[in-house]
Amino acid sequence: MIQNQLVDLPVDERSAEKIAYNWIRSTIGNIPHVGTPVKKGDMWSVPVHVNYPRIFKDLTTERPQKLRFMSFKNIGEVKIDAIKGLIVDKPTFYQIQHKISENLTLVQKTVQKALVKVGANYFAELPFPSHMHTPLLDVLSWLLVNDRIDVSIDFEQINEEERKKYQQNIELLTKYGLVEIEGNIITPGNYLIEIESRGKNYHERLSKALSFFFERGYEEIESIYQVIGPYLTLSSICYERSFEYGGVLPQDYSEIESIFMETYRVEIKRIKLPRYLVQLEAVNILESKTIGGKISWSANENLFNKMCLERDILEPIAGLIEG
Amino acid sequence: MMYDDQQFAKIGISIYRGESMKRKILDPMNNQIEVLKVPWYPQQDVEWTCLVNSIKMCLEYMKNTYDNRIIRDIVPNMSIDEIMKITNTRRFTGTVVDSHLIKNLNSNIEGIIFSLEEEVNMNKLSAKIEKGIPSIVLYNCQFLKYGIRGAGHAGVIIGITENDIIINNPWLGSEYFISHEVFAPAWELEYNQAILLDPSPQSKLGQEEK
Repeated sequence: MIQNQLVDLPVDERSAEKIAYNWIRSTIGNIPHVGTPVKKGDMWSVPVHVNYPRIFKDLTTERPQKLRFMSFKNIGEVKIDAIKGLIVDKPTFYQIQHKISENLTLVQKTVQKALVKVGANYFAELPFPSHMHTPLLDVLSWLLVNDRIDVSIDFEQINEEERKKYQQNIELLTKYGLVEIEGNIITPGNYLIEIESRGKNYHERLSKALSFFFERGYEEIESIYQVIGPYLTLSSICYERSFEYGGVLPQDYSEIESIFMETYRVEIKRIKLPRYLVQLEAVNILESKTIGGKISWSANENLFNKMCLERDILEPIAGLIEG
Repeated sequence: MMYDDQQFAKIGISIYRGESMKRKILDPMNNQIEVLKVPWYPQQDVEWTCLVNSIKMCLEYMKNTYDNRIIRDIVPNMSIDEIMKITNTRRFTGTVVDSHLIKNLNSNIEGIIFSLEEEVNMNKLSAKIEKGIPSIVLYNCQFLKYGIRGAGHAGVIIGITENDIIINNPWLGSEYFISHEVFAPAWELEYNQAILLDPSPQSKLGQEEK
């Protein structure tokens, strides 16, 4: 009995924190950190947080200029027996890594939504051949040119998978009033009719319809990504970094390339990257400048400021950036 | 350029004293101080490789500047990717810091014996600097900058004065001055841990093979 008492000394808060700290450092890595332990009965619960660093460099001096941290709270929990001091429950490495990745994606997608909303007109000005193959453009173009789609006839010859893609996009366009469905017949919705009456030619009408969809449908960021994929990725690199920094921040080419290639991982995209940048500059989404003899790319200041005013969209990530 | 005997003797003495391993810089009060000539490796594009970059800085210094030729000859040239591999550094989460890390460093890097210690004090780090050996400190950089607990961060101590420590900081820059009062609580949050280096001319890899 005496021996048991000697061995089973209750674990205090500091010891619980140290046990969780050691576990994080020896299993996960140096980036996550421990939160304040909370005692629940005979158990200490120690939250795992991540304050993910972002380093911003001055392109003139090539030196770090600012350090900020994105705060991802409670991405895991370490439970410790308050009597024995043993860990009884903990997340896996992959769960922690996945949570960090998920949070970083949330920041990226949220910035993209705000950017697409305020930059709808700009994105819609990108030349159509540059858009990736997308049923969205096909459906809008068809309706503008042919007035209606009879699914039972017009989609009869295409395979099941393609038909499904078109159906999904038609539903999406219906949601935003660009298209109407009546049985098998698809016709322009009220907004598309309105847009049609304002456009000088088909190109302009299609561009306006797309702009309308981007502006209203920014929540459908995955579908928008299908239309302007690499352009959205590239512009959001510059806008996201600037958002995290708190002002327009020029990015050097190598930095943009390294983040861009993390997304695409196919060499052909490395070759296409300069063209995408040139086209984004042509529609005023990005601006190029020479800093310290090197070309850098930055967000359009006016558009960036407008984006930052989209508080409702940016709300989920507003509190994440510290420092 | 020709040197006379006296000049040669002076150069010899300065090399012997390890002065070739140090350089003079100005502190925030414009006093001249000496720091180790450890090169700085930034990690701006990848946020989770501070320990890898710190190890790289130490290896470069021991390989190219440290005043023992035998050590210089046997310390390997290692790329950032190679160091990432042996330190088990992973995307987003950084480097695992424990006895396995030290074991991996010791079994892959010749010429240096690494050790991970807790509750290290400034005297110990100063003694290392005196011998011309840098140390890697693990501290909380966000606490240091903003008073908020955040990620554990690594940096290389290249100098210590009465008022400041001077760190080659992969996030913030080279020859980064931090006052002792500011550094102490940020270091304490990481239990005053440091990775200490001991030059060792004995072949570790050869011994293991036997």
